[in-house]
Amino acid sequence: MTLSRRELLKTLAGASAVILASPDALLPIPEDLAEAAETAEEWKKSPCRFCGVGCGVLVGLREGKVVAVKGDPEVPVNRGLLCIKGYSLPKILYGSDRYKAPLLRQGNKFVEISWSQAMDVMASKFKEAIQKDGPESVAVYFSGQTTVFEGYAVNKLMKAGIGSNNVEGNPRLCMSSAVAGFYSTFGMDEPMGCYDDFELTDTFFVWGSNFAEMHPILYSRMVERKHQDSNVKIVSLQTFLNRSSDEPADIVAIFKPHTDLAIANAMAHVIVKEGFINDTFIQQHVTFKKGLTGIGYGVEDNFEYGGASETSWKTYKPFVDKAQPISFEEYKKFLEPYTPEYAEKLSGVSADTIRQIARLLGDSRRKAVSCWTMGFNQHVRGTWINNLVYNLHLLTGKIAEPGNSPLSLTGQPSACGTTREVGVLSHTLPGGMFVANPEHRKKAAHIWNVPVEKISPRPGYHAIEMFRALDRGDVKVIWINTTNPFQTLPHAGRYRKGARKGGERFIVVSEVYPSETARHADLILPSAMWVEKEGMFGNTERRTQHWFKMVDPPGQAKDDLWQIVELAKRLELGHLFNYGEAPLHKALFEEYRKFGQGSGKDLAPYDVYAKVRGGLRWPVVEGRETRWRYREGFDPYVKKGEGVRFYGQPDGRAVIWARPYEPPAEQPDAKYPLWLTTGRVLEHWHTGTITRRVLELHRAAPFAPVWISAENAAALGIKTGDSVRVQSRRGEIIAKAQVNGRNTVPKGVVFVPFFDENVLINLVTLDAYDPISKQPDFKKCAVRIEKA
Amino acid sequence: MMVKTLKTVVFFGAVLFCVLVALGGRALSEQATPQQGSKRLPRAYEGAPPLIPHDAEARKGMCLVCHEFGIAGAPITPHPTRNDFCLQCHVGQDLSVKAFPAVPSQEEKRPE
Repeated sequence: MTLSRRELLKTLAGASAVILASPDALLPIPEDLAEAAETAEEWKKSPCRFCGVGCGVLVGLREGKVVAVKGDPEVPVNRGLLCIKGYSLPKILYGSDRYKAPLLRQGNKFVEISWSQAMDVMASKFKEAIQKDGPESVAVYFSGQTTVFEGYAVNKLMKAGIGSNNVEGNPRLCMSSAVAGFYSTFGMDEPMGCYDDFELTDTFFVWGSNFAEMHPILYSRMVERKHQDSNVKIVSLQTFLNRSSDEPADIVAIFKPHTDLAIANAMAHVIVKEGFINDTFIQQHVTFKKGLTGIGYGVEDNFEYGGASETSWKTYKPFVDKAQPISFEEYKKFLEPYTPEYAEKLSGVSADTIRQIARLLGDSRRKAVSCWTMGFNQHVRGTWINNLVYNLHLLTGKIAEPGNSPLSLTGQPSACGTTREVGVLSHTLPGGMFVANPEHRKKAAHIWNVPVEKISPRPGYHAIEMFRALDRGDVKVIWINTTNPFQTLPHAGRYRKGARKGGERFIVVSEVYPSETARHADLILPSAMWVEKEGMFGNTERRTQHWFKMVDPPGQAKDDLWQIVELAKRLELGHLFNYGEAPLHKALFEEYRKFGQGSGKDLAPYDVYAKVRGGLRWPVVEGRETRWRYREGFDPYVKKGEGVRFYGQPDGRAVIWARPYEPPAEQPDAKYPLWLTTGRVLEHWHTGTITRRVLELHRAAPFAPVWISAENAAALGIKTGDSVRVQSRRGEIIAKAQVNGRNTVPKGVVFVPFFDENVLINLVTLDAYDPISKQPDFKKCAVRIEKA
Repeated sequence: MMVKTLKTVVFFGAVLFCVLVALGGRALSEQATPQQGSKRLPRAYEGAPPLIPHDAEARKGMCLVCHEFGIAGAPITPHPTRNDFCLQCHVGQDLSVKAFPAVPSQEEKRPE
């Protein structure tokens, strides 16, 4: 789709009150910068390449360069608005130090080599390791920013070609607890509702998510809703004050890290006790279960259950939860001890406030939308806390209908579209299937046209275990693509050292700019990014969006799909990607689409996505997208007369889980008296590899400070701007202290963003994870602070 | 009548506040601390949101006090209803910060 300037202006004029290019008469544009957008020759559609909100942008092109972007007023996600990261998209392509040629390590140096040399070296390392130590000695670690095409291709190469399930992605660090929550409660991944709920609800519950900074456009939709209707209430439950607890939140509750488990159960307690439950809904659509308890924290290599682990990866059995049905009465009994007073003792939130919040959610005259992101997911009981918030919506029947929706927000632009839906994880297959399931392997082998024995039934390493295996030497060759694990892995010191141990280890990194991970590489492959290649992303609300290649990558840089296919050819697996005359992207997508057809994950044909601005929300059946799943009249999979059916579960019923409060893996003590929590800031994407190269973003947030409370700072004689040392049992960093500002942390808590490669806060964090989802907890460990 | 008086009081209070902030000029935020009273900054490209040439964090929630009517020469916002999330598009700038990376280099050494 290409719009001429005239068409664009017409589109803009027809759009709602959203003004893109602010007609700001008082602000003269400096001459050297004035022309860009005015003279863009053409405009093409693309989703933003940053967060999981999935805003639509129009990309302004001129003489083979991206010179401007505008929010796409036709895309319902953002209706013409973007955040500052989105507006900075044109500049991310043109940093001064883009990788332009493949680089091979020679001692302490990198030397430029040709692409054919680079792919030959890479393939020979893969071959050597596979021949000597089997397919499980090689691994790939991709990303939630990987496109659908790339994710599908690398998954097929590994699982159907090489015969290794060691396929992981950084979404393991960001949303696997959300996935495990969806599967355990609904038997199927991804939200039942969508962003439309933001305009249709009147009560918002924001849990441990600063989405004013991390999902800005969605946040602005919530705020606009509040402006429209004074009856709208916003409840913000946070571990520190931030922009998401500012005006216009009505109730702000600051809780002690990890105690969300107790608060959610206490809310259920109030809802049951005070009769807010929806009896009919529960009788018809809900079952009750409990799972294993005392499940441990995964800090041991080859972790199994509780604190148990196995010395060899080959013989260990990864932890699997065991569900046991219980009655409603038993569930009520389980809730008994979770009085608001008990939750107050643990959380610091007053019992009255907890009651008030529970009553707002329970009030049958009100609708309810709950939102959360990393506060829930990066949690050693991440699956549980996801389950617990679904409990609240199931008890009250406020689910799967307009305005009533628990909405798990996603961090990355295609964590849903690629990693989750294409199954680019060590235990999954495309279309919501699992390697351990023989029927699923059969279906996958059929579509991939390979013998079923080719697909291993054994899940590969999950992310943390993958890098532990690299450290131990069990993984020899790893290909890291579009992500920066040696800055983002928790307890990064261990994994960084492991990566430098040498021996037979060989680390390939596909990158666009120098990063901490590229610095650990043996071979660096220069990649194309965003509109330098064709792509497809899937956002939080099941929306799949497509864009075409618009400009060439710099120098010899090549897109990741090309790299995957070239590797396959050299491993004698080129036939996996041989579609004859058909264009590769389309052929891959049409093949991938077969996995979801008829399973509730139906996607539209490639040509539809290529055309439609803003894409469509799956399941797309007979050309129509689905806004609310599991609800008759909206979801084509729910038959007439069924009303509601959670068809992911065999009995069509969603599960209310009895999940207790259990303590975190590490808590502050006399030696390490403070909680450390980590996260992002508005201006930077993840590790800042691309956003720090945009001058405006870098100048807005040039470094990562340590947010500390006024009380703790005073006691330690620390002022804003002082250098401080943040130290844990695993490592330390030095950074500048910050009292207040955009965040205000309570006494006993410090917050450090992870974007800054000079403040590697993950040297300090703990690699404990949720045994069910295998997602690590970046939000909680114990530290001490001193003046440096 | 009462409302009008109240509005006038709020208005002049706001003007006073602006003047005090402008004169006080103490940068309170950690990151964005350009010189107070500095000139408007160039946009990244036409259509990009204007950057904030003054401390933004300390005046959080107060943007419209000056930017609704253009008090003290402040640019008037064309979208005054978006007043609870100005800072998601408009960001402050520490002009003393140089481009990243400071020295354009393809870092070769492994850390440590």
